[in-house]
Amino acid sequence: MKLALLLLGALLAQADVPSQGAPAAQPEAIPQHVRITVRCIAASNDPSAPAGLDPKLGPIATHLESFGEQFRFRSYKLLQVETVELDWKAGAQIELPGSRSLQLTPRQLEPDGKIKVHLELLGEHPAHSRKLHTDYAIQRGGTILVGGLRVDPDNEKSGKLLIAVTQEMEK
Amino acid sequence: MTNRCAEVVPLLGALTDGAIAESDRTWVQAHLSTCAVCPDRLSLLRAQGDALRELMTARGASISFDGFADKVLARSRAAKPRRFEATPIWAREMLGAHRGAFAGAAGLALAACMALAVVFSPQQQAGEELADNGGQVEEVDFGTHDGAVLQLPHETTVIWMSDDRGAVN
Repeated sequence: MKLALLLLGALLAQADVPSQGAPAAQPEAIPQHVRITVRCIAASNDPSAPAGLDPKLGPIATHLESFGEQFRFRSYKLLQVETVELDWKAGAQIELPGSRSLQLTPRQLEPDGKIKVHLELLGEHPAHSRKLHTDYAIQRGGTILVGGLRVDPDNEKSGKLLIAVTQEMEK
Repeated sequence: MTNRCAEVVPLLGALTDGAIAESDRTWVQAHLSTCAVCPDRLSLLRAQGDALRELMTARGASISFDGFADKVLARSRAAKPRRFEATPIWAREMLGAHRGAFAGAAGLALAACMALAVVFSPQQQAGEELADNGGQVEEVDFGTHDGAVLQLPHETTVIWMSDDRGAVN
């Protein structure tokens, strides 16, 4: 019986040890900066656009495939990509197609490791009317998709603007 | 009651039943021949014994034992043995004699099962980690637009708003 208990203890201890080659778990320090990548995507059903996913969208392909199962757009084309490195509670404004903009502010690191972000989607210049604002929490490496507006506000066939906001992993 | 009486009283029942030791019979009877009270105690004891015997005889006479054996056999056939009693005797003996060894073997088997579970459980890969980091929308305001928050498979969170050209664009 004692032998069984000893073996059991050894196995449980082994389960906590990181596998060979993997870095040992270190206490996580609060990062000084938060890196966020914003990808602007044109999701359309335009028959002239190449069908499927733009190869440049590989890092968020899983999310777009999941999105595509619900929204059934024919093509997804990357329009622009921008990575910003922000201090806590310091906002950044990113210009979007159609004279719109996105404001992002990392607010705090949650106890569960998620990063709480405030996001605002602003309308065309010069009115800069606020179209949407939200607070969300996301793990490092996670992506949230915001969409629904036309890529070109004046062109109904230009497709929908899909904004993928990815919380990058610190290196 | 004298000290001798106190010694004799516990032996009166055995004397009545003829089960008293020979070494005690002599001095008990010697005491009974000289004591004024103990013979009455002995008589009372015998009378009680006779009364009980008569009662039991009367009760026994009123009970019918016709088919008694058949009834006993019928009940024993109808009764199901308890699980442990149904276990063969050799198995019970074996379990009792080697309880420690069986417990040790069971512990080892459990440890082996847990080891297999640890070895064969799927390890989380870096790629999977990316897919498990969905956003959690705490608050959203769509302004003049309609909108919805959708939680899709693969931890995909979508904030979708209607493109109402009539609204401020």
